[in-house]
Amino acid sequence: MEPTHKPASETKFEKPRHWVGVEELKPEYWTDEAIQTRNAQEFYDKPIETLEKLEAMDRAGVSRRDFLTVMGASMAMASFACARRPVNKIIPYVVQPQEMTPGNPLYFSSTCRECANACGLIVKTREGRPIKLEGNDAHPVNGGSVCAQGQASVLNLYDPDRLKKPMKGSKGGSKSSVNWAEADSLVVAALKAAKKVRIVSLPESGESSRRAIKEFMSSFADAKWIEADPSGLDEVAEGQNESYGTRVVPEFAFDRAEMVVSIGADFLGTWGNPVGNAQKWSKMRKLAHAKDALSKLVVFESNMSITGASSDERFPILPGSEVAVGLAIAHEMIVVQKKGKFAGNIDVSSYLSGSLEEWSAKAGSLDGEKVKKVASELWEARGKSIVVGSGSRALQVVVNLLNSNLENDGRTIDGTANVVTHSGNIHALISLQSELEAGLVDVLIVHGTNPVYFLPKGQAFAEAMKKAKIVVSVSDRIDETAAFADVVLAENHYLESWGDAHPNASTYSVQQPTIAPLFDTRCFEDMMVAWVRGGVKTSGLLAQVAQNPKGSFYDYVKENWKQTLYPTHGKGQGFNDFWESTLQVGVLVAKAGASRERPFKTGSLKIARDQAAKIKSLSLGKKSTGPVMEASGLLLGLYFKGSLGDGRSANNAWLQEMPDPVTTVTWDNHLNIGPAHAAELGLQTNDVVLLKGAQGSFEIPVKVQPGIAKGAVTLALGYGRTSAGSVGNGVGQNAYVFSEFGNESGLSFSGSEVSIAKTGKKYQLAETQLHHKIMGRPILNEISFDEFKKNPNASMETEPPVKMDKVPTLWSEPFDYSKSPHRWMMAVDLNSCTGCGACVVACQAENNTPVVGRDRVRQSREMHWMRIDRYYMGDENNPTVAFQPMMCQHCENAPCETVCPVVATSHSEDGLNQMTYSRCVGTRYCQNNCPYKTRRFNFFDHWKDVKDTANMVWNPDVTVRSRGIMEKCTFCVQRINEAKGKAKDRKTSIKDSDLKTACQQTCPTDAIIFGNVNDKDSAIHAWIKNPRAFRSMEVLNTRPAVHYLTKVRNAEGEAAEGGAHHGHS
Amino acid sequence: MATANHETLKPIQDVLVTGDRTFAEVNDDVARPLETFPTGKWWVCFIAAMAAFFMGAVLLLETFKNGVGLWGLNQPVGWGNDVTTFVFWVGIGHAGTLISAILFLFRQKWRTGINRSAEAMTIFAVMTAGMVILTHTGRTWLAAFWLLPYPNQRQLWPNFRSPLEWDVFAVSTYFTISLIFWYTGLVPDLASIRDRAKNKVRKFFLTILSLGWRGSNKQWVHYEQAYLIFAGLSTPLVLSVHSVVSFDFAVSQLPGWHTTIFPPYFVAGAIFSGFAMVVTLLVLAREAFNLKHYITMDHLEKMNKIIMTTGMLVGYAYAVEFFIAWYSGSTFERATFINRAFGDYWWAYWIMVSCNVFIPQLFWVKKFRRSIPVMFVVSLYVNIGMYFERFVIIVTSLHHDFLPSSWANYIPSWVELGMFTGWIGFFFIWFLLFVRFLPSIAMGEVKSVMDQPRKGASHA
Repeated sequence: MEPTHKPASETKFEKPRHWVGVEELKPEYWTDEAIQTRNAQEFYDKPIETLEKLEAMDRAGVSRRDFLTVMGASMAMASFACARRPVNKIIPYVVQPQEMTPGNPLYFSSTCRECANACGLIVKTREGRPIKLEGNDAHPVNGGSVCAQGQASVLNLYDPDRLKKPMKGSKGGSKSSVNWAEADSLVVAALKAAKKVRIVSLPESGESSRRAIKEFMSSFADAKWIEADPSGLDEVAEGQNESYGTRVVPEFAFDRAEMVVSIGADFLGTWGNPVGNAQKWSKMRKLAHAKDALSKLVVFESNMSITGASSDERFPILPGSEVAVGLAIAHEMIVVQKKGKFAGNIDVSSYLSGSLEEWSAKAGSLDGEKVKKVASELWEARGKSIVVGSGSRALQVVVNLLNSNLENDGRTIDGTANVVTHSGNIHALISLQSELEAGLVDVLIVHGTNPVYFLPKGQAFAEAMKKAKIVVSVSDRIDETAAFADVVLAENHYLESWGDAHPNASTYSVQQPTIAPLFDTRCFEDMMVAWVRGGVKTSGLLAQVAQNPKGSFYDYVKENWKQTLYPTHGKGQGFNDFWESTLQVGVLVAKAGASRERPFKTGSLKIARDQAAKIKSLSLGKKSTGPVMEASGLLLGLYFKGSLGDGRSANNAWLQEMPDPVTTVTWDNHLNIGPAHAAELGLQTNDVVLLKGAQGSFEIPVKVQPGIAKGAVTLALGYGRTSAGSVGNGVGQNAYVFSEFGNESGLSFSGSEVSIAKTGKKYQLAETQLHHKIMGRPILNEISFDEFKKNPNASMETEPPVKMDKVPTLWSEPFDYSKSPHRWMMAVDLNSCTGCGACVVACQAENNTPVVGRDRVRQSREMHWMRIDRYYMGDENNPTVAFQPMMCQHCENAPCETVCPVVATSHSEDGLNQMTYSRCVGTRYCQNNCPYKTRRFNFFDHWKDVKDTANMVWNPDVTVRSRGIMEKCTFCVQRINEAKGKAKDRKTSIKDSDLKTACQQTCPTDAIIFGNVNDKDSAIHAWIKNPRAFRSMEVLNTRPAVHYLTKVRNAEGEAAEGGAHHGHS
Repeated sequence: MATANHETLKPIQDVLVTGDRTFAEVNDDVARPLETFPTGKWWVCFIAAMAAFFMGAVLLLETFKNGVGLWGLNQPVGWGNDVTTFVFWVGIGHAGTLISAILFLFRQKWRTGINRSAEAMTIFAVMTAGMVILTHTGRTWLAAFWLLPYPNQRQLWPNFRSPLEWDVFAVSTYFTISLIFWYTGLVPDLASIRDRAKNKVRKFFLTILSLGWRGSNKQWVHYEQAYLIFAGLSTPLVLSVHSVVSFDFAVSQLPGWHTTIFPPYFVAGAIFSGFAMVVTLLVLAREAFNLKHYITMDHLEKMNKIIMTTGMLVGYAYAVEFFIAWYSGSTFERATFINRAFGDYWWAYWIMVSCNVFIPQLFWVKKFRRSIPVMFVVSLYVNIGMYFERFVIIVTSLHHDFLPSSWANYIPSWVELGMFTGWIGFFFIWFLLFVRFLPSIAMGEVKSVMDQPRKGASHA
């Protein structure tokens, strides 16, 4: 403002007419001096005197303004050479949805349909896009955790290889896009004329879907529904049926089991409901005091699974001999030790006749003494133990006998719930195939399942499909089976569809869509509604919904709930209130019926006896002619991996790149062979062999895998897809060709005889860990339960010391964190960690960690911020295993921080080691100096590999990193900041419940605990004081924020070879 | 040391310039390569160097375009051939200043024949090293100025606790001082060739570069004083630069890097490699430009003695490292050193020991010390050995560090090997241009150690 009035000193002061502040009304304000002072304070308006003074100065220095001018010019010139950033337009909502604030996430409850378990989900959406799946705490199936496949299933939604429109064409020939009207009219015409209709789908537990499919089938003279899931528990249900007369998959209360014996069942990784199983099992693995209980896990298995790796005692057996192991234990317990109610039962004794030696030999030289011990330990834990087995019905019967004899049935095992999940009738595909071959089927609808891929003779099934009048495939891609369809109807992802699930007797789960279909797709049930609307005659609810021109499966689900569950569970509220509140919680938990013991039918043991008699004794052969080595008579065990499962999500790059927890191999399957046998055959990891079985052969690389019995080889299923999509095609080999339909009702994966021939070729497997021993370093720690009971601190008394109260140092304490409001720390309980790897994928989803691909993993350039280190200890033919989740340790004395020349990594006062991506110039010195090697360098612009819709999965709260910079675990700093913000709004401090890191959130065993140690009530505060707590390599005085809790193995005497105990191993 | 004071020279002193050269002949001999069209040999070398550099430049551009993922580096091994090459060239850059400054202060007159080219080599080696270390970063375009402490409105400042930051200052200071020192020494010689120049353009540039030097007494006095001061300034740098470079490793906590012996060990190694490179270059240069009278067998022998001495010093350091690894009782240290000699990179370790410790032992024999073929081959071996020394230190320490779970081997990709070749080309382009355009023997200084200005008056 210009002073328009003369200063008071000259003439009489006139008050200004317009004034801004009252001070302007005083004459002092307008004196020359005051004006000058004011101007001098202004940034741009210097008093003339000052400018003159500057001018008069002997140009000794550069003025600030000149300097800035020069700087500006040089910056402009420096940026001249840089490429322009891509132009991105941000378009605001025209009409903003009421509940949505851009930048704030919305959470919806839903149900995971990646496998049959139907875990409850809380789906995080940002601006309408689901970006992260987390478990629903209220859900009884998974209780807040999700497995790796579930975590990764959000990526399937955005898979650019998904079908975007329905297709039609010839069976096995080319197909072209059509619109829905045309596709519908084709299908409706076929259905109207059809008599024999066959539907093949995955096992469906949703009551609404089941009802709709049944109503739909009622319109045909002859309709059958086959539920086929190669990874299903058909055998368990059949075995239960044999033994108890009810076809159920029982519920296992691992949280009450003091002793668990698994015969081939990877129940912590892939069998049944692994998330729920691990969650319950881990409840008996938490130790804080000498008096605490610890369950014991004994595993007999042919492949090294994470269950075996987490076991207290593990016995490598031959594939196919599982039933012999069961019989050996039963024989010992019931016949020899005469324990339990079946002792002296003539029927049982006759079925169990034989000798321990005989059974043990069949299982592959099991130590009889140890089997005796397992039998007596089981008996001691009767009523509080569980025996589980995988695979054949024969084994299930023996397992059932053991559980009944041990009085577990009705106590730790609940088989009364009359629900069939996880099991279908895959066996019915055989009769379907003969029907097809006879040309009897009018319409074949294949929904979501892929028999051409997973049947041992898939090609024959495909040929048979060609004889059906019309094959309708309901699929999200032209997979192996859909290729042989006439019409392929593009299906929704489950996050785009309504539905429900009834995973166990008391749980009703709602599947709520969280995004409108990305493409022109529908869910299967909506297709049925459309067909009925188009003229397919049916009755019931389906017809009712179809009558309404706007009716959809959403109405169907709602109406079904209204008719079935609302009357019993409505609690007097209106249906809409009931529905809304159920949607909010995501699950309806009904009162469970009391579990009771069931009478065991001893006659069912016959099949076990027959099966065991068929086990051939191992007859290994080896022919060597020059460099060509051929070995025959090996027994093959096929297994599922926690990453790919049965192969349905093979096009998911997160899963393909997830290292197998035990082998650490990514991207391929491989033939595992024990070290002793491999040495005998002259085989090494990466040698390619020709694997030959009765039903097929292919070349596959070998992996020498400790813990596999001589004579056994194992191979993962789920690989070798040919029509999965750009990611999954041609990855590994399809091992289903070695599975077979025996007399069993499901596919048998164990015990087929194979031969291998060395080809002389090499194929480098993409392993993330190339060295497997601790080398006597104080990295992790393990003791036996006996030692722990005597002295809970015993695990720290090691040489070299794993725990150091005070490391001698020249320097003073780096920073007093006790004065900060927050001090973030993490504890990882090595005793509960099963190595499942869910945290690895959860971290990847949360933090936009790139997928690098097979070749870059081979170069040791994987980008996972979190990895599961796996170490072997003891005898390499049957080692004990320790998993160690490893992420940035957020060291107080972080070696990375001092060496960065540009301070791109620094420490916050709440104890976080922070990474400033934009400041990083990529010297990689921090990575070199990190003793834990948790820093990950962006060798390339990995984000450029993410194409099309896959870009929608990015978490907008986390920077997508460009090439040339370092990144690493941040302790999910975006979550910390969100929690801080919320706590500030609430005007409270952060509580444990406000904040979970992505890895912690999804960990099924609560092995990861994170929080603020300055909060005395926090869980982390208590955990780091646990006598088992130590930090990795304390001797380096890096003072990590991550504490590990010693693994305690429930075995006798000294721990096998724990961490730092021994010089080297 | 003013103009040649030949009366004071004693006959028993070494004859530093042979062949009865007069002062005029010195000028003729030194200036001849500058005043004639380059020979075929020069062109062959120059084109080869240009080709190598061009290949390296293309690969560097590819790296800029795609990322350093084109190299063989991985998650445990963050530095490989890149930093190895950097330390290699910085090390080579040490001989020049040592010869110019320290030998000058110790009045070692034999340095006069070789100091010019040794200093030139220093400057070009440090230039190469600077380029290598700059381009090894993930984002060179930012590293080029973010490591410098310049005031900015974002109030960002480099981390003075980082040895890489010390490097920036150590290397840039060393380069600046070496350049000034070299240029100061060049001024009288530039004036000499200016006076001989017939070409106008040539004369114009030389006139500017020689800063109006007329050779007056007063100018010589100033020159001598300035030269002495620069020698004094440079001397600590000879020790400091490679000490600081060694801090890049010694300050870390990685077993195999974290050792107190590194500064002296690196300095010795640097002098070792620098002298070897000087021998390699001079053996070639004295052949190519007929400078045998100035770079005599005595010169070469003296350098060979230094090579043998420093070679044994680094051999001692190798031994001490093993002893300390054992004596420390640290699991990590012991494993690192056992792995170094017998692990996956055993071959690199034994190449290093053979080239650096065993082969220079040949110089115990006078005949070998004075044999051109022997010293040429030995100097090449030393260069190879010193490359592998840095490779062994960097790669074997990184690939087997603390957690066995992250161990992985490093295999250089063809891209980085191509770039390595390119940097050699870069160095030789400069060096070849130097011998073509600037006097590669310090004429003024050589004359000061000559016995007689006239032909036939020599005592020899």
